[in-house]
Amino acid sequence: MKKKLVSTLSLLLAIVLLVGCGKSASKGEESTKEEESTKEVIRSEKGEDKEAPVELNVMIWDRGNAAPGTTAEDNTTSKFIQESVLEECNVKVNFVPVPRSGSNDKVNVMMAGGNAPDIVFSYSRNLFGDYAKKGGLTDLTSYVDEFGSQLKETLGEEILSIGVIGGKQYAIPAKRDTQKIRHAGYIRKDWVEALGKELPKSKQELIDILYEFKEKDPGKVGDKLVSWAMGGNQDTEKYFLNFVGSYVDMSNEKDQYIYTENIKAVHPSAKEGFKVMNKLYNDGIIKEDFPIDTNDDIYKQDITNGYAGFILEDNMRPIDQHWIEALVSNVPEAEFVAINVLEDPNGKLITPADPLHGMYIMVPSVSEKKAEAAIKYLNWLANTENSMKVMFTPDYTTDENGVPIAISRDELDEQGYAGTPNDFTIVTQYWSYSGNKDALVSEWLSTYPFLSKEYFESFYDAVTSGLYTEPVLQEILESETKYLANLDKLIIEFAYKSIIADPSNFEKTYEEEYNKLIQAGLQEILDERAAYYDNNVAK
Amino acid sequence: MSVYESKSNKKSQFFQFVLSFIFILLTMISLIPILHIIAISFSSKRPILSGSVTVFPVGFNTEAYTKVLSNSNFIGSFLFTILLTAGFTALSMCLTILAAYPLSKKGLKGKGIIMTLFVITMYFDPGIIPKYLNIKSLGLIDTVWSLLLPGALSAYNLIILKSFFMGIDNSLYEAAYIDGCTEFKALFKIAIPLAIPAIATLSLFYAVSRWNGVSDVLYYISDSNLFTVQLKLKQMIDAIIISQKEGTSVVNLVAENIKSASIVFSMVPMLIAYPFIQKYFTKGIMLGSVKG
Repeated sequence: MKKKLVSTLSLLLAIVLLVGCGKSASKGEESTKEEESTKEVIRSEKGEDKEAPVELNVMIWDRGNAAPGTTAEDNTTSKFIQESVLEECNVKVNFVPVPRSGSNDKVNVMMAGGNAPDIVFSYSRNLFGDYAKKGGLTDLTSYVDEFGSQLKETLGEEILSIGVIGGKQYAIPAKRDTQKIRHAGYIRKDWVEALGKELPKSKQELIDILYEFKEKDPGKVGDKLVSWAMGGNQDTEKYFLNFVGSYVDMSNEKDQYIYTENIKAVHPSAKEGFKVMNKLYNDGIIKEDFPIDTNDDIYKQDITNGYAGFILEDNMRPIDQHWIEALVSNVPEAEFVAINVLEDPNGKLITPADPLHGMYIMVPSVSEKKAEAAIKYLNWLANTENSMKVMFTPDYTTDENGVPIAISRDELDEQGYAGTPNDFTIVTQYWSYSGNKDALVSEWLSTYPFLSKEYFESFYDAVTSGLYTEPVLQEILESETKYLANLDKLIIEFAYKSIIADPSNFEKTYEEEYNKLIQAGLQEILDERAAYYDNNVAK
Repeated sequence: MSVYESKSNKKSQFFQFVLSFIFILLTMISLIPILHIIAISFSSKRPILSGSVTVFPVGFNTEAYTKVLSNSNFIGSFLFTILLTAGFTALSMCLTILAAYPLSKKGLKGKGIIMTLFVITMYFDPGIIPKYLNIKSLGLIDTVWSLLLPGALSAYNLIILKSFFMGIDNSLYEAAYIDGCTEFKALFKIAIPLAIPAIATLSLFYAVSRWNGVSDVLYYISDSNLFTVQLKLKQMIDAIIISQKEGTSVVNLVAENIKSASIVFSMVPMLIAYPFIQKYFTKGIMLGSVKG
């Protein structure tokens, strides 16, 4: 027995030692192979009298969905980029995989360790601002001027300026697809029609219809009926922000700079909106007990089982999360359509839209020597035709609207294309057909065949009307770095508590919760934003 | 007398019944969530979204498993993680035994200082970035050693094993020394065989911690061939959630489905290993080693 144990233990140890050595040995071989191939390139190019290519390490997100036999950094898509960029820009691109979740943490440690890739990116403005302030990033202004003509053309002044801090271009912000409102309303059209009415066109009409849902139960679902379904998710303000925000008059430019995104919910005028929601909650219109549904499980079940009449959601979520598909298979006559009717106090529709920019693409200061190559590479990606080849495979074909014909996942896997090509097209995802209604409708139809053409046409109209783009401050405010992350959570708590308060207690609860926010740094943020506006914009 | 007896019999029968009932209830409480997860992993999208899956799959299909398995080199990283876990456990146990044995003996010089040094690591953590810099300057980034060495000795496990060794009756060693036994022989012939239950338990601790460990792989490894199963599974789950937020639809699956399949996957090796180790948990330890 003892001998057995000892021998097993030593055997295992021997195995692990061998595995370790084996790995490092094979790595060594690989690197020599790589060196050889680099030399070859240089040799062949010396014949053409060209300089040796510059090596550029580019971060790539690994989402664990590479095609079988490939990896996030080495697949047909990455090879296409590497070959094209080497030929056109004389830059040899190596991709460095960074797991998508925990990506910011990993970028952080690599930046601190001084061995980050030459191109890194993040969606976090805080992270970007932090690096820029601490001198961790290369100032790209002159490089963009010299090598980034396509970048300038594709992104335009407005988007590029978002990557400017203190007058220096520290990041290239990505351009997103067609701009849509961030959160949309979805309502059961079949219920509205059963009431003999038309879809609501204003906030008051919507509220009236919600009351009628409750009184007349047009879907015949009995006591399971929820006129306005909400979840208790602690990470998002989507369930209330557009509603309470619509009570805020944003025509004052200073307010536009101070009350952006979730901070809009704490504008003094938004209190009126909370008061209405509080009444709706206490009248049984809004889902009872929604704050304890923190995973949104009940919320999703209410929607898919056909109990919910109205929701506020991320613009496409009910469609791309297949809630509507499940709903229709449970309740065949159900029609859950997007509406955008929450007008502001002046009767104007100004619904906050998705920002124009996506992630921040950065070059660490230790990679300053590679900045020229980095901009050349990004400039190549900024060409819509190049980016579309990366996104839809190099020899994609289009339909009559110019929309690339979708290739099935299985086929893409077989040919070894990247699991998420969007991760390579980091500069722009605004395709040649973006912003074109017919093209987008046909693209959606091919992605979500369970919905009709008419459905997407009215969806397009709803989510692209009344777009309001919030301004972005060209500075990182200290108070925001310090307090905003915590405040994000507290504002959601503040909102939920105000909504579910007893009507007689509403004022008290609202004041109490509001004061908590003030104590948690809200006042500093409001003051610093106001000062920023006075010093930079108003002048 | 007989009346009293039958009464007490009935009483104890009733008591037995209540006990069985309570234990069946407790077993169900821990079993049902696992069955629920297995059921979800085999169910189709619609019932999951509508919340109609309980402990039996609804709309049976194996899509989630196909998805998990067809992932790039999943089998490869599964085998790699098993080898890594086995190697890590062996390495850790060797270090722990070799450190715990001398520290369990009376009369070791500098014992207090050595113990203090070990204990300090339990209270103070340098934080991610200093650790990363350390690993980097040791040249371990992107090697399998960065996953083996930093966590190879846990002071907590060391203390457990040390206490266990200290519980071994000294007269056993004395008997052995009289017969001409060396310290090494005493360790291998007396201490280890008697500590098998503790060693089995600690091995399980080490194995589980390596098997479930994700963050060190995330930080130290930038080579997808060295990604462990757990990291890949985490990526798959998070990919769905994050892509929802980014608006890039990745797979035609509900997150819950893949999440459950992943949980089942990560349970399997431990479920297989546990029955073999379990017997050591229940076995008496010092039974019959010292007589008279």
